[in-house]
Amino acid sequence: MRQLKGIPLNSGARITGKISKNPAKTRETKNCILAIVSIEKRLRGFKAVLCSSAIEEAKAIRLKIPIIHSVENIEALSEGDIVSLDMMTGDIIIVYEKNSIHNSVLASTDCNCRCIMCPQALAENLKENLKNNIEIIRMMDKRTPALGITGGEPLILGDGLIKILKECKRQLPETQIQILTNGILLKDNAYVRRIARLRLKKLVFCVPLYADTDTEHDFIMQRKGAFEDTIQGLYNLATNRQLVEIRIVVMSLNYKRLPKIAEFIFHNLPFAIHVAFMGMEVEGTARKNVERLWVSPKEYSPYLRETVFYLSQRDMNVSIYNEQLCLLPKDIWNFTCKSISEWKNIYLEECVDCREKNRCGGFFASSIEEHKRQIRPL
Amino acid sequence: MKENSTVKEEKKLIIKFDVSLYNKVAVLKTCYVFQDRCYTKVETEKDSGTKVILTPKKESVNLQQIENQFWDELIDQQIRYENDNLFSDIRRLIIEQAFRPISFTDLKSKIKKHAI
Amino acid sequence: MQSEKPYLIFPYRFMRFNDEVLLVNEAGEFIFPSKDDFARLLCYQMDTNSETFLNLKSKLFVTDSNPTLPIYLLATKYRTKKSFLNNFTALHIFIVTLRCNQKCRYCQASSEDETKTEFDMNLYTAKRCVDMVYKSPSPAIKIEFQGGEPLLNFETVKYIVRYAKKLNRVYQKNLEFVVCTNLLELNERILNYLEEHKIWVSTSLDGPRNLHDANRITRKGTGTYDIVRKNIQLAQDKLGIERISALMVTTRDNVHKLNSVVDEYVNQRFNSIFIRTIHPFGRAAKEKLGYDVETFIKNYKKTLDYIIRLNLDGMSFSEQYATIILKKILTPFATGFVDLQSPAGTGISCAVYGYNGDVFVSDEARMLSKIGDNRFLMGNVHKNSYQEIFNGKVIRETIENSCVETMPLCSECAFQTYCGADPVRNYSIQGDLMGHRPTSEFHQINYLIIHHLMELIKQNDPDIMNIFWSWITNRSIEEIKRSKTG
Repeated sequence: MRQLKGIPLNSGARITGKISKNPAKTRETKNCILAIVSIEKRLRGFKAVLCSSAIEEAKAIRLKIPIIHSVENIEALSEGDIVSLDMMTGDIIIVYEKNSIHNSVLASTDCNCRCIMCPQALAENLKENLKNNIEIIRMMDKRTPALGITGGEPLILGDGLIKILKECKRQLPETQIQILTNGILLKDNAYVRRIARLRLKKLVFCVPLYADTDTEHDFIMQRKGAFEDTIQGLYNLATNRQLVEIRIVVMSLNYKRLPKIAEFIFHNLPFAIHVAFMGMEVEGTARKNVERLWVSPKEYSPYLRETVFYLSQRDMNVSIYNEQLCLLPKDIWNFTCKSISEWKNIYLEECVDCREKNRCGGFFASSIEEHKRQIRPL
Repeated sequence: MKENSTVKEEKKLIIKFDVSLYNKVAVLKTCYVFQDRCYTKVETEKDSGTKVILTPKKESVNLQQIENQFWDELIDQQIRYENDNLFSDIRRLIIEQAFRPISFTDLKSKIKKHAI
Repeated sequence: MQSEKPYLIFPYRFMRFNDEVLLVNEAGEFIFPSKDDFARLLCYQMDTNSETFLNLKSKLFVTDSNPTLPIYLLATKYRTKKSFLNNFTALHIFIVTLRCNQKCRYCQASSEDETKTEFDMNLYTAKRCVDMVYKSPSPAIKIEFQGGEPLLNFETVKYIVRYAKKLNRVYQKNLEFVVCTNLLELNERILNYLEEHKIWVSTSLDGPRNLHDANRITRKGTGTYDIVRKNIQLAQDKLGIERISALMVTTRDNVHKLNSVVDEYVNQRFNSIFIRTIHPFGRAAKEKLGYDVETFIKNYKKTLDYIIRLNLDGMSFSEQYATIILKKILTPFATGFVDLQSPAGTGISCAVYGYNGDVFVSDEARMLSKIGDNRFLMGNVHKNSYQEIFNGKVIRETIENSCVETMPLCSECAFQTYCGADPVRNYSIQGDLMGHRPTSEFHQINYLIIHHLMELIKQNDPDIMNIFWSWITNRSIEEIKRSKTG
């Protein structure tokens, strides 16, 4: 998540609140964190105040309100964004951006798998603050188009996830909720039924499948039985009429069998509403294993192309995420999406003059070294 | 009669074969396939073993071709016969699961019991 | 898993296919191993790390892991292929009259003179038939009006539409109507009615004038092409092109000229053709309008090729029989085509209600009854209950003998999942419900067409495969390639 920093005063707690740029007191004020250039007068009712200018410690103490001052880039904050403040360090974490289509809730940092290309830094047995997450959802704008529920593995929360979903239904009835899960715990049909009974309007389960056979998939997930469990989970979702999206991360271990994976999906999981092929995000465990996992887009693009056309012929909805247009054959450009969250997204110097820059998704900042060698402006 | 042989006599094809290699079911099925082109007769004699007599229905039928096709078909039918024995349990499991489905865990135990 | 063997083989059927072997499993998935690979597979000598083994494993032909998941998947897919059984009888054909204004040379309906109104379905019978239709558990009902010529008894047609819609207000089924008509009687009043009630129209067109009029003639012996052409256009303009379709019959007259039949369909703004063989029943048998299997297949292949070339040139035009077979081979889904399924559609997917309330398993069954053989008469709506008709001896015996899984030659055929049975046809031509496969034209034609399509699939030409998929999914090739932005 995007982060700003400043100098904290008047508190040592963690504070979460919605950004307001209006110093006047309103009904909303008690949930808000004011973001202004400088503090002129007394400010009542706000949870905290952020300002870009510096402020004297003495003056700040008199104001008796948590303050973070000398914040750089405070313009990056928009009205309606939600931030989490660490008043010990002065970190301002933007947990929700009102104008973004890529918001997500980090439901859990723990996972029941250790995928070799996982970009998420996992913390074992760290119970993510369920209460905090629910509080954040409550502050989100009702018009939020989409919200991801991510981790780690969100399903590990069990009942906690049900609580989060109930809150989503209450606060964000029109929002598309995407649960990013490996699906293993969905083999418990009773649990799936509980989620189905919540009757969320637009709930999608985004489940990864890395291979068309169990040995390969289980190896990538670093968990024996993952393939069997995930397929069971997918079938339980289908039986309970839940929407399923299948995601495949393209790497050296599976790119040659992409067409066969597509065949497996069409013949065994035809109920999937969307299949997404994703470039690898070289972060976390993926960074550690990059030598083993990395394959250049130029090398895998013929397989990707064949696979995308295979699924499209069969009237399955297919997209390519996290890919750069200059490395893909032109006839599959219409399948690509600008999918990288704005805060992770960069373009190289070479991209400045490229005429397709607006259409292209750019790429992950983390993968910059690997990409530099191949990017060409179009 | 331990060896296979074919004899062409009076526009008929007489095929004798080793019964330990080819099961009766496979032989009959093979004869069935040729019933559009030939009249078939299967005989067993104590000393000369089992033989199939194929009499073409039309003048134009090529006996050599029939013979070659017959042996090919016989091998295929024998494989099918052996496959049937191999597959019958699993096939039954599949059809049962299709029309009277049980949970995955129950299916797993059921399969274990069949020692598949 | 048995420990002596390195892998477990799941049930499959096979046939030699040119230089390779074709394997098909219970889910209808197929693969073409080489002869050597097949031999290795059988002898348990295949390398489980090889690409070939992984491909077989992925398609559920083998496994070297726990077999529960593959069996679970195969079962689900088998159930999907048979899902047409779920809803029982969905297609209900009403013979509203035997009177006809035509006397086509190949007619198997044995048409009666236009004055013989005693052969009309009366309103009382119509009501009992619709009541019977609504006893079907199917959530989707299609009522198809046939005859003779149904427009000659339009009053009964209207009554049936009215009464079915009335019942449907309670039953809330997905209700559709089709009228199968030669269009000679079409007028403004009828067109308005068809439009108002959203009724689909199916007509007959055997080709350009000389071919159409060779067999499709009035009772006086004159041709019908001009009127038919004019009325097709009228119907298309009024109801929309998608609402009217045409069927053809392949006869000795047009079998060598099917390309010109296709051209005629294109000219008359149809976007598909169904190349059907003739049923050697009734008048067709008498007038010897047949041709042999070899002739039909040779010309079918030629015309299919012609249609593919039209598509390569940018036209959207499909062949419906090929589309059905392709859907069976290439997708995991069931098709609703009652004439080629196992168990056969006779009675369980489709039922025919004669003008006097007799219920038959198919139209051919009704034709047999007309010449004195009541073998396939299920009952009568005035005398028998739903149970007696749809769970009686006739339907049971017919269905028991129409499962290709247990029929000679079919039971081991690699094309089994893609094919089906026609017990009525077997009985009427060969004298027995099971039929005799080696001498069955029904078998030979289906086998050869499936074989031909399988060859094209194996060749995997990308342009031809795009065309096939455009037929199967009913989309344009542009949509498949997503060649337009947005």
